[in-house]
Amino acid sequence: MITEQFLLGLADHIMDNHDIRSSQDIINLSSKDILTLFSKLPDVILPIFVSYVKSLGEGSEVFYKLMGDHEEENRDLVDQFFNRYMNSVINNEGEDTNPLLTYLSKESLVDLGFIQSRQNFFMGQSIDHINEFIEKMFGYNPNLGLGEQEKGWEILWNEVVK
Amino acid sequence: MSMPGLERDTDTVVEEKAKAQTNSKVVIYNDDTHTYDYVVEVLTKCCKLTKDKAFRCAVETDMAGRSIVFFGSKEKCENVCNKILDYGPDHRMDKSMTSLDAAVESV
Repeated sequence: MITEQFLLGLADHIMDNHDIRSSQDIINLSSKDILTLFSKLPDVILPIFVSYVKSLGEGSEVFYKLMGDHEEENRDLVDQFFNRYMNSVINNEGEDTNPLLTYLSKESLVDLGFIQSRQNFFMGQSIDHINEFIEKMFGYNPNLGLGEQEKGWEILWNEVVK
Repeated sequence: MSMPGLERDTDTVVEEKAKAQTNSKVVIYNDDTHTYDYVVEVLTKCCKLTKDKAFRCAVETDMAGRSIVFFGSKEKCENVCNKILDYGPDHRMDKSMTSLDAAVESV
């Protein structure tokens, strides 16, 4: 288990010209120093460290430091941080997969009880995924707009009870 | 032939028009029922932000509690805000039942 003491010790080791013994020492780091610290953290530790810093309750102040205090000289470090952090926390795998096509197969559409039980799941999908699903299953794109999940559900239900 | 006085007047009119067209902003608020993936998806689709910018707004929302995601006229901001509010819940989280919270504010 990763403890606060471990994270502080790691930060103290990385930032050898600073004496880091408490959370306040982290918050007191300059924008450039905190970005330098983050740039030297291993990939697996980075999101844990960001969560730790966020938990210190100075989120707004820390965020502006992560933006480099809008100083041009910090720009590379800022870009590097956000790229690494994004790759750590954003799930790029399956970004374009449609959950409806994965979990509501064509074969399952004959089972009305099963379809009924998936109503909340269906209603929770983006409208693009719903349009794509209806097009793949029934051969036409209803071109529903944002917020028209319920209309999408009605189309699905009318099609399966035909 | 240059007419400095007229130029200044024209600049002022353009400036005022620009100001009137950018008098509002859309703000989103933090909660624990939406993932970073969802926020990035919503902001790229509803606000036409790049993925990088959308991610920075998501981090700001997470850390600072709110983030400005769009500037424009009141009408455009209301349109964008309604798209965010109508987007639907985050299917990645079972406990997500609603869209992100968003509001239009004056600049």
